[in-house]
Amino acid sequence: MRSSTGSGAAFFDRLAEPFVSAYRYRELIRVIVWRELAQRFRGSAIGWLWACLTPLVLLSAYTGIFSGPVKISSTPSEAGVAAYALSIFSALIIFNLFTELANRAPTLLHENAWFIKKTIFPSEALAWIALIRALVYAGISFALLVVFKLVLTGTLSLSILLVPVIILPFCFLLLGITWILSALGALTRDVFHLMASITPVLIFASPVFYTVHELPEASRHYAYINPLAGYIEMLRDVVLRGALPDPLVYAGSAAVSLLFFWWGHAVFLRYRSILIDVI
Amino acid sequence: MSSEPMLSSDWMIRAAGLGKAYEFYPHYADRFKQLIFGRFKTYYRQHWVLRDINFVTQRGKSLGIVGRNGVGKSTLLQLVCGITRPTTGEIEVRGRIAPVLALGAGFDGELTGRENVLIGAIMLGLKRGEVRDRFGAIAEFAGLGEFIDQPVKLYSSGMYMRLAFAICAHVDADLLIIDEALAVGDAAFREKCLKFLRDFRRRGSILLVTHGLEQLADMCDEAIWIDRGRIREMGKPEVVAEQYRVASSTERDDPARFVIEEALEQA
Repeated sequence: MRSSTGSGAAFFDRLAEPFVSAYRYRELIRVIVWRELAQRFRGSAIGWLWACLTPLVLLSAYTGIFSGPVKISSTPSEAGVAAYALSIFSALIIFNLFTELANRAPTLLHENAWFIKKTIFPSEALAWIALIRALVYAGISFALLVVFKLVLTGTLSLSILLVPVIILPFCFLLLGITWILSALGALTRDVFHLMASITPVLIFASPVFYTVHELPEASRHYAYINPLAGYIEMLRDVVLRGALPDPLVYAGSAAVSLLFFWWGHAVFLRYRSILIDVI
Repeated sequence: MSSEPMLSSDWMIRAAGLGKAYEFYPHYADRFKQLIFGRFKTYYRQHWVLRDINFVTQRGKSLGIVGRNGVGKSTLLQLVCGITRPTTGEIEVRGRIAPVLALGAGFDGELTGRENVLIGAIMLGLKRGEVRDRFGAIAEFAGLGEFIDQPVKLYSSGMYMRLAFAICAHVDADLLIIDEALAVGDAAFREKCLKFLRDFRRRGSILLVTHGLEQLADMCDEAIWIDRGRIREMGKPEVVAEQYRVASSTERDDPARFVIEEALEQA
């Protein structure tokens, strides 16, 4: 087996590598995620309620603002204010997942420098830990989205069951981004400032306050150059529109995400030993 | 360090031609220039923390390391743990390592001692079930009483150390790495640790960095004296300790020890 398919097997080993490593350190990842979540709301009176309150405030604010004084040109006039608020809110779940990781990744290794330098700690596991933590908060927002959808429109489509299928490749994209940004961020703090100034602008380059379908026919395809656009629209499809996601968009997004995932992991591993001496 | 051929296959730690250099960049941007143009020009100055380190420690033997501040002792421990990678040569370790490197490095001030035991022990490779089974023993060894359920930010440095040592003592390590750990504890706890270490030596190896020379003779089978990144002496702990003691009292505290060398052009 080794003789003829040696290089093929090695290739698949490399593809499996990130998963093997995550599985090997699963207990460690689990306990540190637990630690970060436990520590986050220690010393606050209402603890976990904050995790629900923050998105709740956000959703009310958008509903309030767009129903009253502000009218954005792309606001579909016939669509209700509630539908528009839900549309923004679902987009923000995806967008906030991205921003939380993109803003945190550059300082991820610095934050855990003491850990990495003083104990035997697999630094590549930090990306998984950061992702899972972000997913927990996104999950809370998502639960609120579902509740609001039910309350405001009274219906829920079965297509909502596809949400995990859409989020899974998105997680791969986020992991890839986290690995790359954390490696760069360890080399220079500039990456942190760069991301902090880019992400607020990126919200306008993503279909958060508008949908891709409202863009002019000619520029619609360009919108998907931003990998977030595909995920935002797919989430709206299955949760709000009760439709199946466009298979082409899904395949394209998943392919780009997986490439990012493997590339990010390879880059991180390649520079890991240098990074530990730098931070 | 033993050279009997019969035993040479049963080594625990083996270092061959081990060297570690850190790179220093005069300007921040030079680091990027190095990444991009590194093959044409060298933009950094090198500081060799360790050079030409060769030793073999047999399974079940304990090794002590002495030397003044900044001669590379801690870097050697990091290399043994695999935290940082060697610039030259290689280092291999067989078995499970438990580093008591920086005491309580993994501790989280907001969490209680009990919660930190769970995290610390899992970081050292235990399963959750195993930690639960051993928690009683760990808590008893640490001897913190009700403080075990208080946030560790309320602990004194001695209490911190007790908890960290208690965890390391219960993870079934083959190699225990101790970096001047015993300096903080009170006499009674120190005695408890030393007793544990004496028992531990029968089943595993200890790698001990210390400034306490009597500890060196007490705990170790062999000793290495590191000076300016190189092995200056190695052999019986009492002998090395004596040589080190003599040198420390005669040699000045030379400020020129910390010199960053020019990069060596290597083919």
